[in-house]
Amino acid sequence: MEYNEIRGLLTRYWEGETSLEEEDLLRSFFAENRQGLPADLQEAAPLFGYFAAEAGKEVPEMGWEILEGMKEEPEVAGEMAEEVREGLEVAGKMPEEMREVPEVGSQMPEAVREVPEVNAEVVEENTSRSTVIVSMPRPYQHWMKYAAVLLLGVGLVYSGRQFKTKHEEGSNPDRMAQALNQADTYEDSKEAYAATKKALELLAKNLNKGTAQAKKIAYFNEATEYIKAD
Amino acid sequence: MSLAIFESQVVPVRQKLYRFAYHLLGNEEDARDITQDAMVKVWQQKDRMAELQNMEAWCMRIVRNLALDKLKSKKHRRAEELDKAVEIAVTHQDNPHEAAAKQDVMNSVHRIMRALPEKYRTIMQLRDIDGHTYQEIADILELDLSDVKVNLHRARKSVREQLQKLQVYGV
Repeated sequence: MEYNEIRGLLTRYWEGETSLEEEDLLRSFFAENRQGLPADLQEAAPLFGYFAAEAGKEVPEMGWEILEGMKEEPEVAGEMAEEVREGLEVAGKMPEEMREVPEVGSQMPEAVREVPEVNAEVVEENTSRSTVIVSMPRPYQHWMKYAAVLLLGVGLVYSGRQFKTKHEEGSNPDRMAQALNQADTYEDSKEAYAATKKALELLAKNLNKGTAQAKKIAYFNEATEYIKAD
Repeated sequence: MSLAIFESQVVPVRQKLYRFAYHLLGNEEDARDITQDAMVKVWQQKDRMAELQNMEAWCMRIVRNLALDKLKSKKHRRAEELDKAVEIAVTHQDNPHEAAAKQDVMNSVHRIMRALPEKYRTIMQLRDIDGHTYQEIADILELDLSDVKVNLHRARKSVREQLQKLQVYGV
């Protein structure tokens, strides 16, 4: 009977529909009944065992050292130290914010009211300390920046020189003439004429081949038009 | 005024914050650092304390954000203890064999839990181990109530599937 109830609860648990109380019930059931469970209930047993173990796990006690550490923070230390010290020592000079504290404090339990005193000692000790941040020199920290600047400089110089060279070549007429002269193949103009004529004849011959083929197409066109006309 | 609120509402939950940080980070030292950082952050925002409705949820949220930042940072190394489940107290009825088997099962469950996506794991942690209500979880994780329920359902479903595998195949 009890198992059936647990089965029902488990089904609802897997669906995420159980309340905290029902989940407590499941936890305590699995804590008490570790042995001899029906097979279908066994799958959940390790999980609830794990939850119980985790929940009961002891965490190291964290005392006031957290707050001590907090007061080492320069901003916080200043504010808190001032508040606490003035609250205890110089009641007349208390800042507006702190004047409310004793009223609240009087309503607080004894244990809590004692806390500022503990703080005050801690703060007294810690306020004299100051945090100095020392940055270590790292000469190669920015090497990529330097490399990029160097690369950019080299690129600029190279492109500038290239531009200058081309500009000089283009603007110098003697150089152009020289270049044209160097390109001449024949010294004798008759020979050059003959060679040019030969080359042009070859071109004409090849063009005529194409024209001859195109003529055939012209015949077809004429024939088509003739048939259409009929 | 803010000091009084800090003393009465934040300081008492520091253990809870630490536990939460520990479960997120799996490392005592980091959890300690994060809890400390969170308390400093809470103090720095002390002007907001008076207007907050759920101070604990706010603190938990700060712890979570800091812990997630820590996890993302390259500096964070997973401690060995992360893969080790809580040591089970051996009772006098348990013989060594049983105790070892039990520890083995606990380690497997621990691995299943650690393998869950962060959101699922955190929700299960907050609900099943810390015993928070759905509304509290929604406040801590800044989620809708329905999202919390849906994610819890999916998380438990996933864990159940893994547990069934563990039971049937022993893997």
